Amino acid sequence: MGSVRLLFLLICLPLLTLGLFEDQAGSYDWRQQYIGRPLYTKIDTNLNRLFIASEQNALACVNLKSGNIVWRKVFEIGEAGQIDHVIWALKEIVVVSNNGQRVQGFDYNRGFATWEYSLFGEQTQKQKILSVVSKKEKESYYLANNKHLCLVGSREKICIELPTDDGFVTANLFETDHGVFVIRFKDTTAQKLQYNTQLSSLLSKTILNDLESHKNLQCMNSLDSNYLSCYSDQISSIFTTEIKSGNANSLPLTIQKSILSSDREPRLAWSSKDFFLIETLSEDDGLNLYLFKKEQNENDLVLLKKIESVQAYDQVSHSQNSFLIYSKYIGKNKLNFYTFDLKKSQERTDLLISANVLNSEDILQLEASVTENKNSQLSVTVSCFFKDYSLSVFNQQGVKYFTREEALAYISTVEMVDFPLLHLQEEFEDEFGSTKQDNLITMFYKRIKTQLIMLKEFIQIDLVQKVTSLLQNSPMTKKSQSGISLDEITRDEFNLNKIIVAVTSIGKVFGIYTSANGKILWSFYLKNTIAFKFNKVRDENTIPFFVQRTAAHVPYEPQCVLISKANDQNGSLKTRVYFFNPLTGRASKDAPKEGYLVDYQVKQAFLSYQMDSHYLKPVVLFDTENRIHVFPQSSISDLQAKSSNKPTIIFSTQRENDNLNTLTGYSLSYSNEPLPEVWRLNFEDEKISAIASKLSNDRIHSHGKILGDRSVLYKYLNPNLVGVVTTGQDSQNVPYVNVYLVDTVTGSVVNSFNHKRCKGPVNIVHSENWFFYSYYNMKFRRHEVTSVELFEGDIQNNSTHFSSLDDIKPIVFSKSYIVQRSFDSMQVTLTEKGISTKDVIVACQYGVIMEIPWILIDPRRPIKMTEVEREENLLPYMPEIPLNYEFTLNYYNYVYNTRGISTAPSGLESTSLVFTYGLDIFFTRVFPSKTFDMIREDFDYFFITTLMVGLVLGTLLTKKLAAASNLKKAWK
Amino acid sequence: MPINSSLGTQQTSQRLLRYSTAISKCSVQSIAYEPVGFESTAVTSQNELFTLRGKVNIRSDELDLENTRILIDDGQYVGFLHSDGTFTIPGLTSGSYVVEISAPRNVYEPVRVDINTKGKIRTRRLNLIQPSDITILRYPLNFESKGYPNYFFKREQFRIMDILLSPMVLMMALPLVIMFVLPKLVSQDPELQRELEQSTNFLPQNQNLPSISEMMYNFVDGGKKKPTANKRQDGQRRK
Repeated sequence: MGSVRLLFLLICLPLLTLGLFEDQAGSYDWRQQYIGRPLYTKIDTNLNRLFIASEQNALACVNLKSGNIVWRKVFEIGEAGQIDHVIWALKEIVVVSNNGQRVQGFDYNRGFATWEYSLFGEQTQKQKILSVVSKKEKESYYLANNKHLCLVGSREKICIELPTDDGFVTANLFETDHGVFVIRFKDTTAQKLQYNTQLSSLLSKTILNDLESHKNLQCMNSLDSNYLSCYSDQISSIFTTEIKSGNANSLPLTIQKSILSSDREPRLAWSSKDFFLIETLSEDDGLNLYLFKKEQNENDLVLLKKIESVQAYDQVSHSQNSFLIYSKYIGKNKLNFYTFDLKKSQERTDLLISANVLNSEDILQLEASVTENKNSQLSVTVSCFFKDYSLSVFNQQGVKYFTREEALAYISTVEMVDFPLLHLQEEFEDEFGSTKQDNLITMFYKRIKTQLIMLKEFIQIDLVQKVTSLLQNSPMTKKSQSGISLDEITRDEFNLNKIIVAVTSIGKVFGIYTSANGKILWSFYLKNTIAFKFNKVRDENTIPFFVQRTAAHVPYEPQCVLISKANDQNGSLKTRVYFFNPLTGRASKDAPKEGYLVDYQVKQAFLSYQMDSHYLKPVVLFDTENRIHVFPQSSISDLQAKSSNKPTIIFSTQRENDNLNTLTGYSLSYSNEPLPEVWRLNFEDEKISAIASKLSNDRIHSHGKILGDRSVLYKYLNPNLVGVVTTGQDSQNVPYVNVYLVDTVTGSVVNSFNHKRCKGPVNIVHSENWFFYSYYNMKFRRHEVTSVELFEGDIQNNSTHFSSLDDIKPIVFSKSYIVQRSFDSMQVTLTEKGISTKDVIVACQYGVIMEIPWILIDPRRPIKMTEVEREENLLPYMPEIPLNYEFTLNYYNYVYNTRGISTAPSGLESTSLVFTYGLDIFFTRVFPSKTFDMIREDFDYFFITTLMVGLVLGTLLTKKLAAASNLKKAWK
Repeated sequence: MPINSSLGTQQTSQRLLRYSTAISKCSVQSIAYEPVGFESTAVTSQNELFTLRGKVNIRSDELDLENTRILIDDGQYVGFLHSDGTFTIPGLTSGSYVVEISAPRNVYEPVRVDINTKGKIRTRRLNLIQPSDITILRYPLNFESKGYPNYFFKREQFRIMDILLSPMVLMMALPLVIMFVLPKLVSQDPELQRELEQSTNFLPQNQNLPSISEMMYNFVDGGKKKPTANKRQDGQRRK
């Protein structure tokens, strides 16, 4: 029986042809890879490479000239893959990750791992990791945290525990000819430990008396690494200590108070034996640098140079010389990089870089490299990471090599917005009478007018263009590929190209064109944006963002709203509501340019389902005191007028006993009073981990399913239904997952499912009358998915209107399936009219984005097939959903750490647009029911033409022949 | 304790460091691939950490050497390949893991790895449907590529043979054979011809019934070709 079923499935599977053809790869899908904010950067001008270890758990090598990723290693998602420390060693990259628990070596050239060890063991909290490249031991590195000291290299790892004196914080690590030294502090005590180079014995353990009784010392290894320089803010002096002897060189070197004047937070930024660099914050939060020099036999440090309002700086060593490279903005959009020679203590004017930048944002990180060319001339290359998360590299001539928009690795919310119709198309629409006054004659007049305009346009634009392109002998498509400007883009015939408006958690907003490989049409950086945190476990940031008005309402401009937290001038946390045009990225004309700053804290934000008189869907904010605020405020009267006597219920989650376990329903009213509570659902010890509701643009085409015997099974289409996933632990600490289907109008639980010995992360989607969710089964140690479908039965309760208050007991079908992998993210496809089947798009850690066909997850897949079900084309139930490679949407273009998937319908019913975001972004089109409404692109036009021509010729020929033979017959 | 002499042992031997026998065993087993040093650790935690080793054989595409990630339990731990295709994943506690190779241009079968508290590593084929069905695999892990993943469908290509062998064409070709070839065969054999004539005379042809071919002929002919038809009629009259 089993083999028969398998055979059946094998026959059926080719029917679900969802995959691509090889020549289609890259024709409409594209992928962009990102790195994230750099934590550690290294420029190698000889290799022409830029190496970055990032906040987003990636280690990458970028071509210095083009900005393309040469290789990239993506570590684990979340805490486990976080990069704690990087040593850019001579021949390899040493990466300490996972909170100091792992150390790995990577090769510079192609990014191969060279060796790996576990390092410090489990840590309770994050500790600073110190490192020194060993001079004695070849290709070995000393690494230390507060408790351990390790010598690691490709051949071995030796770890020792530092003497257990509680509370000591390791501050510095040295290697000299006399061994390895660890300097650590505890309150006012400074301790020095000396080990031999193999770390086999502790040679000495001394207290550094000179550093005694000074609080909050900031200590640094001096450049030549035999000295420890410590800065004490209390007495504003610098101590230099020779490491071997442990003696202070002389009396503390004092800095005159008047020099630092009113600057705050002085910090020792860099030191060599005689030079010290102190960094302070000026009154207006600018960065000031003070360079001091130690004079012979003097206790006061001499101020060599004061550099004011520096953007960022970096210190570079090059063949026994040290340079301080710092940047300043000279006027708007003009960025200068100065180089200061520390040895000669003078400005190197020949190394000045003057560059033009467009964004003129503050620089967060500056990394410089000084190289010598053939004529022994020095040149500087700098890489800048700006506050809007763009990464640029400038060379000596001030030429910008590239700009990478690393903010795109931080996308939190996405909407796909339609382009406006061509003005011609608009007039087409107008032709049929936009207002009621239009009578037959005016409509006829309009029709003639439009057609005349069309003719004119055709002659003026199309013909002229075609003729010129013919004359210039260049194909037209080439021109449109290279430079696309915003004005040129209009909606295409099938509305396949849209603009993806992506809001990042750092406050940069992008408008990305869905074709042309994801070209960025516009972007703007909203300064001072603080994201909402919605998931404490995964530390996810979100910025709610909605499309209030599409481009369909001429003459009104389309409008989007973005809600974030922001600091006002006094530094207190406010809520900001910002309006912008999604097609141009410019701030909306009807609202203040900086948006509205409001005092209350927002708990929930959503779009009203009703439009105001300007075709605008107002955004409704629900604050922590359960009050309602509407933006724009002018539309509140429209909403009040439109709201009928039927109450609108909104629901919100709440914490009770520090546990997110309550779902509360409120009755919506546009007044200043706190909303009255209608119902409350408390899940006791269970924690709400996910809520799934229908997508707002989810279309339902059919009320029922036609069965094999031609009868109809009506769907339970409750628009108020949500799926609530809760997780908890039973009395034996075994986790379980519960899924409740809650009607949000009444607060009643329509159905619930319990999965014992199962745990999250749970992903859930809801569309039409079905739910689909994934979880991990601990008993069988496998990932499973469950699909649930609700039906009303053979008779529909009310065919025109659904009411949650009617007593309908839905018939529930549900099936669980085994899947090979867990899913990072899940979404359901959307089409224009909802006629095509809805497939589920999932993203896996594996790197693939997959489209799971509905027919495979259908909860009505029968275990024992009957004739009626076979007629309906149901597949027999199989416990496993085979995740075939054909389902992969991104084929070999793997994307990692996907956080979300966004889908949108196109103008073609068969086609749904899919955009996934995470570390990488990926866009494609999917055809859940195959491309039934367009000619396949491999349609053989040649074949069909030859066939037609051949048939016509054949007919003519046979006619001739027939006539001839008839004539012959007649002569007989 | 099986420690290879080529590995630097001298400095650790005198120290009172606790080795994990399992770890040193692993490293010895993996010598077949590369001379990996053993680890010594003074970290005394209850959860001892173990290291997983293996090799991935890449067949389809060399590009995969750089792009391959070793995923343990769907990315709880991630490992990367060395230039020779081997990998090492340190820092695993005892437990059961699924090891999967994520390579864009190669297919590998996932494997379940069990590490007991003493660090003994057992590997078996992953069977999600029947977890009790155990097929033991060799350790260190060895992943053989099962070929290129079939992301794409093959396009249907136009081939003459396909068309000729399609049932429609065969259905048309057979009557043609009967129409053209059979009369030829019959004409060579006079006896058969006579027999046939007799048999056809049984069914007297209805002359007035318009044949389909003639109807089609007239239809294709259109109106303006009527003169030819007239001519033919003239001819008949003359006859």
